[in-house]
Amino acid sequence: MFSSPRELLDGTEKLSSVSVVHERLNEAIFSQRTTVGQITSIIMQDAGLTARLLRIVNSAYFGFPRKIDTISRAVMVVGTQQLHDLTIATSIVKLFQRIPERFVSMGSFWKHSVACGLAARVIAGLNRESNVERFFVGGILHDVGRLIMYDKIPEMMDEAFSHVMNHPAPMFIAEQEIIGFDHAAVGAALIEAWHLPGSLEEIVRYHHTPQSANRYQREASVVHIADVIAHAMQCGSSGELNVPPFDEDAWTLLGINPGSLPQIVDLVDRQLEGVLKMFHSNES
Amino acid sequence: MIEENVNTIPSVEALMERVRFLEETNQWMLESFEAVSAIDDQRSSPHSRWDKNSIYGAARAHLRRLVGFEAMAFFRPDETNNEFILEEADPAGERESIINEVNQLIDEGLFGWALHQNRPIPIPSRNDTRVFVLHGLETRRNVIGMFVGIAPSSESIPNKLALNLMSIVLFKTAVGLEQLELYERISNQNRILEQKVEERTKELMNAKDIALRASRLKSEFVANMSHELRTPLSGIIGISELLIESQLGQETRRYATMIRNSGDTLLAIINDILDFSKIEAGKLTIERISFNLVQVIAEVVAILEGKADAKGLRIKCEYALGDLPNYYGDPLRVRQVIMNLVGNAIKFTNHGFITVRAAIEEHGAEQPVVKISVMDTGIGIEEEVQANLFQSFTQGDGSTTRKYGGTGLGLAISKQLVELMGGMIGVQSYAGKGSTFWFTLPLPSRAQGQESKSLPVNKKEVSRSGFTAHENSPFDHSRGVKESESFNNEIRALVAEDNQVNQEVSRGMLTQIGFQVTVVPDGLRAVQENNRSPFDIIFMDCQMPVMDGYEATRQIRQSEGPGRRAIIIAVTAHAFPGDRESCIQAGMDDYIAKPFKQAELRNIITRWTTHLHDNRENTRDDKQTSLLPSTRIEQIIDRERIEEIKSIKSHSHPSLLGRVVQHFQRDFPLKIASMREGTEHRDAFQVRKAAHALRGSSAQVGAIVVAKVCEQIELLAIKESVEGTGRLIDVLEDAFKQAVEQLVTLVPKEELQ
Repeated sequence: MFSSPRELLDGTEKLSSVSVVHERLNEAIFSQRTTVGQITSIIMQDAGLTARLLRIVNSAYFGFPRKIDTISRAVMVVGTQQLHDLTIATSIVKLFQRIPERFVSMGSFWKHSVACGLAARVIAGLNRESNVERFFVGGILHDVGRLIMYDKIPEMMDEAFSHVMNHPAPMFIAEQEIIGFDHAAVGAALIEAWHLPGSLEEIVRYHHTPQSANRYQREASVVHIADVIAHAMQCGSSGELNVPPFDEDAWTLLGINPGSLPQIVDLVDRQLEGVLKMFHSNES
Repeated sequence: MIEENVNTIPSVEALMERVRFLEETNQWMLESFEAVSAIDDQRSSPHSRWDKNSIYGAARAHLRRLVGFEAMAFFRPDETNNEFILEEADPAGERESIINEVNQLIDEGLFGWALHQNRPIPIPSRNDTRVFVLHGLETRRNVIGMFVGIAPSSESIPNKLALNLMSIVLFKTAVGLEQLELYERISNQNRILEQKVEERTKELMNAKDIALRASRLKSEFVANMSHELRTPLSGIIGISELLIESQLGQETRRYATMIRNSGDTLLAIINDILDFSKIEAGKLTIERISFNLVQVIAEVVAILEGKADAKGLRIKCEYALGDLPNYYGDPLRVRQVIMNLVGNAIKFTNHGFITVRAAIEEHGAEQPVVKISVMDTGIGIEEEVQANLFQSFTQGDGSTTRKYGGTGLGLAISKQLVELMGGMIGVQSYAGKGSTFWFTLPLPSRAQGQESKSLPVNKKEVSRSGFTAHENSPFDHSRGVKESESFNNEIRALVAEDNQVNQEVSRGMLTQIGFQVTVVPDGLRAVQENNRSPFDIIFMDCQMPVMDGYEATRQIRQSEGPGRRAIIIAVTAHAFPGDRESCIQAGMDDYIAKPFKQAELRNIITRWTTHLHDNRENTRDDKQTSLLPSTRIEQIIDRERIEEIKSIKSHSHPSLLGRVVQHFQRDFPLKIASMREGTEHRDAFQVRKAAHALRGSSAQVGAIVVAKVCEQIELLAIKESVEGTGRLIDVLEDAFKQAVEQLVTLVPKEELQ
């Protein structure tokens, strides 16, 4: 029996590599002294990462009119913070390539996650947020806790699933009742353990209950809405049987124009395939 | 995969380095944040100019502090074609090269892409080592423009913090520019609005002037109409009256009567219409003078009695006015309203009676009112019809106009008049059961009543002996109306009138009365004729060609001396109350409104000719007007005295009266001679002695006038004056002649030798 989400994480040795890169980058970016060159060299130490990043910045996802040949150019154009976020996204996705597909296929899972990420990015763009990549990352990672739970406690997840079949409710409620904590908490614990930015942690923790967030209520609200949109669009599945409850206050807080919905859905539709390929490509 | 020993503990040097680094960063951050938050303060200072240049300048200053740009530029989109134009570049010398580079970036699509990224986008130049940092200037609502900052090389690109602060500065700059634009637009709008308001006001003033002019024209039109309509109508009515008075056969007389009646009806309608239009134009004024309400009602009843009798109706009057002596108001209008109501009652009643009631009503704390009601047993009025009764041009329903005649204006005018006088009007009626029309008038306190100082208005005065409606007018009518019909035909009357028919009417009427009539067609001729030989009474039409009545009157008055004063009666169409003031100012004494009836003419003449009689006497001898006694001519001989003497019968004096008279006759010339001598020699004492003696003897014989004149001569002489005695002696001789004439008739023949 696990009494806290943190306990689930123990033993995940895969943690370290992600955190190392991240911490180095973080420090480098944060430091006023660090030049673009230094950041570039940190990234380039990871060839796979380098390749993935270059692919992303040259894709329609980014829409940059010029070809970006080098990481240093990418750093300049994309922005260091944004590039950092993309790094996190790709690393984590790569981390969870193979998980037992009892509850959900990986393809389906990442499809839903990427759709959510794209929707969140578009919404953030409409609201003129300065770092839209942060939202993309948040969107991609919001259900990552589920993967860990599927891996570590599959029987309890079974129980939760059956419960939901007979008493219609969102999975996270059932998880809380049966297991004692939900996938949002687990995902947040992982983010925390990796020392990733606080906004990501709150996004993941409160993506079903954005009103409970502290400093990053806006971010949590954006991903919450993006999650609902992704479910409504039926882009893949994360193991949720029903569309999760929608918090109207989140909508009001962001002041999104309902007329923007068609635009959001359209952009997600167009970019989904391309982005999935980039993040999910099988190499190594 | 990265291979790294995550468990390495950093060295002390590394830690120290990190601490120093963190402190520096912290310090830099504090300074930068302070600087950035101070942006707004600069802008809101009242001392600094607020325009685009100052906004750009402030932005540049902050950006320079954060990032060491070697050049900075601001691009703004052109409103018409949405192309970006370089608005400001610093240093100015870089303009060309900046524009070149930016154009390339626009072509590539990089410019457009960077615009919406909401963060600084560093783009290496293709041409050299410089880096162009692009940052969109956007507010929530608008794309304001693009900032372009030039860094000398990639290495000099600032770090993330500085770039973020840059975003803040540029966002604030965008907001500031947006504010400025909005403010300028509002100021412009205000200016345009003010201009529009000014233009509109001018237009409105013009329109007002035009409207006022139109209104004035309308009033003048009404005034002219009044004159134009009344003048020929007065001809019709006047001539028909003359016809009626003249020798006519029965049938012709009938025709003439019908003409006159039609004329009367037409006049009534015209008066209604003119009244109505006056009320509409707001030109009707209400008088405030003292008059007797009961009398006004009685008059109306008297006038309409004939019509009521003809239909077999009886009119009753009831009064509950307490001790209300006089009412202060407009008798003409009150009479008009009562006439209208009673006239209607008669019109719409076929049998039974009509009751006119006047009573004071008090309802608790409200001001007491006088309520006058006219109740009839007529055809009644349906409820739906009652609502529209007092509106113009309706008369119950259209058919009643045809059946009963009338303009339908009566009640509308009555309502307006009553309301102008501060009262209310209303009706209670049931179809088939008769109607009660009523109106109230407020009872003003005594203090409010003002006497009218204007000429009396007598359009429809009833000639009843002893009745005077206007007690306080400036002209003294206390002599009352004389019953006598014929006047001294010494009275010379002048008629100034341009309309030929009206000339005939006036000449005819005045000649019938017994005057010597002269007619002139305009004011100038009137003045000339009067100058040649002054008239006693002048009937002056107000509106005439060449010279109008007012001017003619003014000139006549100017030429008159202190003693002599013609009576000038204005003949007017009486369109507006202002006419009265004009007449008074010109110097007229009274007026009569045309068309006038003979009866009205007689009244006004009677009122003034008693004046004339006195004037005649008084001006016979100019200087003695004040001295002559104002006794009646009949009393030349005191009959009582004669009787007394007659009754003294004694044996010694059987014919006393005869002897007394003879003595008087013989003595008189002697005394006269003595008086004349005294006057010649300026011997007052002699005059006095003779006069005194003659006084006694004339008193004896009852020759009062002679005695009075002697008394006056005596009084003069006592003052040691013989001035004017000569004249008085002349008068004395005249008086003596008259006295003797009478005495001779009174003394029995046998007593005179």
